[in-house]
Amino acid sequence: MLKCKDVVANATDYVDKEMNWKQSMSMALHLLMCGHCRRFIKYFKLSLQALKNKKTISQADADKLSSEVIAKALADAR
Amino acid sequence: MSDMDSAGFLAKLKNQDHQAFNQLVQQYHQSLITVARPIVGDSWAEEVVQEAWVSIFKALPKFQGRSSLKTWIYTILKNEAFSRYRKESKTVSLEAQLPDDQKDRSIDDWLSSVFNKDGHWLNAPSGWDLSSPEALLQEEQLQKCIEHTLELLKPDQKAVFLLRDQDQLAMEEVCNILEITHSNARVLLHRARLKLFQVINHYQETGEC
Repeated sequence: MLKCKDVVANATDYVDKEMNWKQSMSMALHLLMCGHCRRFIKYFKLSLQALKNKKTISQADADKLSSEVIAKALADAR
Repeated sequence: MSDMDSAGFLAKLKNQDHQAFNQLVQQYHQSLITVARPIVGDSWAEEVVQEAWVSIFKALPKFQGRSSLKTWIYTILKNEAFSRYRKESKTVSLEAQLPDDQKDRSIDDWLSSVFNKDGHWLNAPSGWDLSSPEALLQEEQLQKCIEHTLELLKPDQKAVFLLRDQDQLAMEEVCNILEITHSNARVLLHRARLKLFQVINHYQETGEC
C-alpha cells in the first residue's frame, strides 16, 4: 500500500504517464482514498503551468547579436 | 504548431532571411545559454552559443525539417558545446556531476517537514488562492519568485527542466541533447518540479518568496 510520501516521490512518473500498470493502479487507489494527495497532484500539475512565461532577450540585444552572427557567417563564407 | 514552425517562416529561414533569423535569436538565445551552461560552464556558454548561432545561420539552407526546428537548433548547439568541452576539458561532464547534483538539501528538508514518520501528510498543501494557470502567470511577484528559483537550480537540473517543461521537448530529445541517461534526467526533472511546487505552495500560503 502506497504512503503519501510515495505519491510525492512518484508524482513526475504519474503525471508523465511513465508508470507500469501495477504502479498506476496503486497510485489510483491511493488517490481515490486520500484527499490530501489528490490536492497535491492537482497543484503539482498546475505549478508546471507557471513556467509558460519564457525568458527571452530584448529586441535590441537580438538585433545586435544576429547582426554580429550574420556578419561572421558571411565573412567565413568569403 | 508555433508560428516558428509554420511553412512560411521556415521558408524565410531557409533563405537566410535576416529578420526571421533575428526572431529566432530572440526566441531561443536564452534557452541555448541554459543548455550550454551545464556542458561548458558559465565562462564559455555565451561564446559557445554565439558560435552555434553562426553554424545555425550557415546551415539554414540545408534544414530539411526531419526534426522540429527547435530540436535541430538544440542539436547544433549540443555539438558545438560538446566539441568545446572536449577541447577545453576544464569543466566536469554532466554525467560525472550527477550524483552530487541530484542532492538538494532544501527539497529533502521540505519533504521531512511535511510528512510524519509513517510517511503520511503532516502538513498537506492547503487550498491555493491562485488556482488557474492564468492566475499563476499574471501574479507578478510569484513570477519573480519562480525566476529567482530557476536561477538557483543547478545548471543541469535547470536545463532538463526548461527543455522538458517549458520548451515541451520529449524526454528522449532532452536526454539526447544533454547526453544524459533517461533515469538521471527523470531524477533531475522530478526534483526541479518539486522545487517549483514548493516555491509556489509557500507563496500561496504566505504571500512571500
